[in-house]
Amino acid sequence: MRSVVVVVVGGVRLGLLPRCSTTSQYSRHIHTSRASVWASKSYFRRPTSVYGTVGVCGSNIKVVGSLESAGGSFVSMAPITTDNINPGEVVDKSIAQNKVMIFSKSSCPFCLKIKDLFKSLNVEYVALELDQINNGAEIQNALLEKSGQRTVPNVYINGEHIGGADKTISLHTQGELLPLINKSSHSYDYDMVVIGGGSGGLAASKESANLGMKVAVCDFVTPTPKGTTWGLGGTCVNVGCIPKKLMHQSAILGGELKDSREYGWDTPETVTHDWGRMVEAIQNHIGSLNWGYRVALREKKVDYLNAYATFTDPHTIKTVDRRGKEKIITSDKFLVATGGRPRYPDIPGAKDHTITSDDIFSLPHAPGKTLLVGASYISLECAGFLAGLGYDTTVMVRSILLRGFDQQIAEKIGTYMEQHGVKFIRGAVPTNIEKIEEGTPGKLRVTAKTTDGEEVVGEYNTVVVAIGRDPCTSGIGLENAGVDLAKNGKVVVEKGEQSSVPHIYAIGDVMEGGLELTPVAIQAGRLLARRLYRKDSLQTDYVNVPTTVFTPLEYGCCGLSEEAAIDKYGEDDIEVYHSSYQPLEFTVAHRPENDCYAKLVCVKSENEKVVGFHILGPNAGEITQGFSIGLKLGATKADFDNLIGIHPTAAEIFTTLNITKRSGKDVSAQGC
Amino acid sequence: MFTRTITQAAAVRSRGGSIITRGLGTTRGRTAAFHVQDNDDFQDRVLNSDTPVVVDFHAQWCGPCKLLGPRLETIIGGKGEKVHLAKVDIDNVSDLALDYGVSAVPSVLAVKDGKVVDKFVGLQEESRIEAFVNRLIGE
Ligand SMILES: Cc1cc2nc3c(=O)[nH]c(=O)nc-3n(C[C@H](O)[C@H](O)[C@H](O)COP(=O)(O)OP(=O)(O)OC[C@H]3O[C@@H](n4cnc5c(N)ncnc54)[C@H](O)[C@@H]3O)c2cc1C
Repeated sequence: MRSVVVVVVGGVRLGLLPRCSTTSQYSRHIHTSRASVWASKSYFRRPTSVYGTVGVCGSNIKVVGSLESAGGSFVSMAPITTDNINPGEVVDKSIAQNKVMIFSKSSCPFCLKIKDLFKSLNVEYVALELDQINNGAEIQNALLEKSGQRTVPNVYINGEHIGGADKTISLHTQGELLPLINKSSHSYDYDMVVIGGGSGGLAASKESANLGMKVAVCDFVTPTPKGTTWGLGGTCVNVGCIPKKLMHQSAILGGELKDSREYGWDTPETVTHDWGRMVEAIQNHIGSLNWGYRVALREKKVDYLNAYATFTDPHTIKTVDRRGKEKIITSDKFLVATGGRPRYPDIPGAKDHTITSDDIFSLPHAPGKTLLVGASYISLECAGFLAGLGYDTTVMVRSILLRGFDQQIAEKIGTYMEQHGVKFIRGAVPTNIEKIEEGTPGKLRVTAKTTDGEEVVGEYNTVVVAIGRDPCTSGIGLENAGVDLAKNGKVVVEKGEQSSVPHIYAIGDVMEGGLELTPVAIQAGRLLARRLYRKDSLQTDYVNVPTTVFTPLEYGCCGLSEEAAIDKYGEDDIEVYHSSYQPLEFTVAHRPENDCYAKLVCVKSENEKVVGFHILGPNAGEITQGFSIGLKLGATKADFDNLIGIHPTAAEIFTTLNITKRSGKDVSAQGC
Repeated sequence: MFTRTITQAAAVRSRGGSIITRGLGTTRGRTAAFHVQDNDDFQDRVLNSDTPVVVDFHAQWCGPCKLLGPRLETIIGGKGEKVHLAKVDIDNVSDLALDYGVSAVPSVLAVKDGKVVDKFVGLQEESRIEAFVNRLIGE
């Protein structure tokens, strides 16, 4: 085994077949199995079958001597002799064949420091320990001649002389070391072009640039049918999470103003809300975020192209800016992070007269009496804040609320909203929308059909459709690049967000099998960049991702819904612990006792491991974020019971859940 | 119209073309203030200017900018031809703003003979603006 390693590696490395002895020592630092594949491709240039993973190789040659430790992630080059070779040739070949070459001495603390630096950066290097070979001194002389430097460490990157420890470290502190290492070996314009400057795309581009890559981001917002457009940052910042949460907050404040009277404030019975002022304040904040992204891209030296990108071939895109100016750009790798846009129903008047979440957050006039079509979280969230702001609000739903979420809680959300002014039309879909009055807002007549075939007609000032979102994957030439799409239009990916074309990746809302959430897109983008350009192995974990629906009573969850848990483990193996609760703040305010609800879904056969966490109540997002780490770490019901609560909070309810759903016992909160 | 910004719908993120700001021409220094259209315009009217120029990088979404703008106009208007005021909407002439390291607005530069000689960031009291301008014109 050892001889195989010795001969081939040594031979390929320096062309020194097959003189082997135990007198020389090369060490190679490699990290992950993924990295080792990469290493074997770019450096060893030998059939991987001989060695399997490089890590295995390392363990085989450990006997040689000063192999560095760290759990098999380092590989020492096989012992070869440099005895009979011209020292100058050893130096030249070592430099030419290794991206990062360190002439070192095993006893030298500065050498150790430099090797540790590269290890900490996950950068593969080859070190030749001059004190462990016979002709070390000659090689050192040859080095002096070549580089003007006699001391070790003597570092070369991509064939270029860097210098000793101080120089290498100072390059690193200036952020210039990785760019030197990651210099491209292709002739494309960019190492990475990201299509879509949203949550995922921006994260990936900034991280790739951090790691020394030449990166461009194309971001272009196609105006809505109403003409709304926005700045850099994608859906979340402009027409999603951010304005949504701020409008939710505006509505929450209205509720708290009412409560405030109970708490001694002389708040007037009727307070008014100015839609325009709210929108302006929120849009101003968004404007500053847009600018922040521009500044960040500039700081990271990412090229920003405010243009629409289309693939023309697997390595080329055409971009068109708003003035119609075209540009052709090539890149080694691409990331498709184009997100999604709201879907319109295919009925007369839809595109002409309705708006979507893309328009509502910048609507210049108050919406008036509003109909929301759809039972998505987006529809319910918008209905929630509109009702909270005082608008006459109706939601039209075809079947169930919040498909995919825990249905018991979805129904509780519906009930609460209904009790707080939102009207629901269940089992109906719109069939026609016509304008009956101009104005801001005007008036629309909506005709709908119920599942029983009945016709329902209603008049509204504004109709918001929120029936789903389609991925932005059509018309961008993915077929020209050969990228496979799923039926729903999303990009099919392998593990690692890699599409059917190996150098094209997809993350965020366009990725098939992903989760349409901003932090998920960001994580995927960041980790992808690190895997590509820092040889990390960490994959995005799409399991136990916490999320929150910002309806008037927020709903936070992590893990499985009760239905999904039963599906997966069987009803007998699932124990559900639950309770209604009343936040302390509700008491003085005389809010209802049993609106808020908490439940844990546990697997009996796995020591009551908690596989589903659910909470319906104020600040559910804040509560869920913290608890979700427990689920990720495999917390059991006993762990929750052992946890001591923070009193008085709402979250402490999870430390005292003792009624199982199976028992059928009453879980109403006990008021005074 | 469903443009995103309520009050300055037309100005925000629009083509970098001309923008009319009301009130600008009503102060004494009518000719002293102008809007920078693009990099060439900046080169021409700011960097190549014989007269010192105060450059006000501002944005439509920036509340403090709306308070600072009129203060600058009044103070600079009062200096006659000794100093000009150049206004740069960072969303229209973004690259210029980025080139000058504008990460927050309002950002105000004092430019003399093509060089930035002074700067401040954020809303300032009138007296401090006055002193800033006086330093620039050597009063
Ligand atoms: C109303 C609403 C509320 C939401 N609330 C939340 C929430 O509370 N929490 C949460 O985590 N998530 C929320 N989301 C989801 C979140 O916004 C998305 O998951 C996230 O933005 C996805 O990021 P992305 O990078 O995949 O794409 P996006 O952020 O959508 O960015 C894609 C960008 O690419 C651009 N683009 C598309 N095609 C091209 C092209 N060919 N050339 C150039 N540019 C192109 C688009 O214009 C866009 O700017 C919400 C979404 C909506 C609609």
